[in-house]
Amino acid sequence: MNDLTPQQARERLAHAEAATGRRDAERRVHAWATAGFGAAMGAYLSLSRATDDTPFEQPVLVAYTLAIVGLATWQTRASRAWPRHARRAGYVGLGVTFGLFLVAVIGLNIREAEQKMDGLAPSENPWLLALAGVVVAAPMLLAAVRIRRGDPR
Amino acid sequence: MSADGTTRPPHARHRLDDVLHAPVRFSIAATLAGVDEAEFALVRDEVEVSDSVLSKQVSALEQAGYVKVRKGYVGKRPRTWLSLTRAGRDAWQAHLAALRDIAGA
Repeated sequence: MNDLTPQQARERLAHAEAATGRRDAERRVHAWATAGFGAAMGAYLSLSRATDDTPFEQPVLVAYTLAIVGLATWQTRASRAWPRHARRAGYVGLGVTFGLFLVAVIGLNIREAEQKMDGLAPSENPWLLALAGVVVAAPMLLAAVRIRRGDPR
Repeated sequence: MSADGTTRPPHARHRLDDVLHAPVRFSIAATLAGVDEAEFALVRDEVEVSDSVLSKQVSALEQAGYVKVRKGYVGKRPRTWLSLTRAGRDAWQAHLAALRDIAGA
């Protein structure tokens, strides 16, 4: 028989609320990891274009790979749970960031091709590269904020 | 039917879920309600039960279709992850609604 007094029901509700809301440490880990992935992708876009055909091209790629692998490993080991909706927020952020990354690469390639057709030496405006990096990173940084705050959707 | 001839809704206690009503299973569901997925060890630590007790209660929740169990690895170490199914979340919300009705009675 499921007999409960109103007081017992209130105690159970309080217990449920406390248990459900106890996810701050996991939110912090996933938020930092998501922000890190976004920052790494944005930085890689900018730096890989800026160091194109220079001796720094390979080190940038190696640093990017190490950053991504390191973040993924840390995220997996530091957290024992995915807070509610955090995974979806992270994947949506990653998807949009990845899409913007491709758009930025295509846009910068078109710009480079136009410079060549005009008989100019291909060169990238550092401010444009920095802006592209920030735009690429932005969706994952926003996702990180949502994960940290624990937005319901 | 009541004395004045009107039909009264059943008391909220009849809407409490028997599977979720047990204290340990209630705590497991409460922990899982706040996550998409949690490691077995985290649930064990938060509910403060032994591995065997948690395993038994998770089996009961799994049989009811409320919990999904996923096994995998982190590095070379085996891990078990637990999550509430859609049916489990619906049952949990209905159970909480019944508790709120009782608490407000």
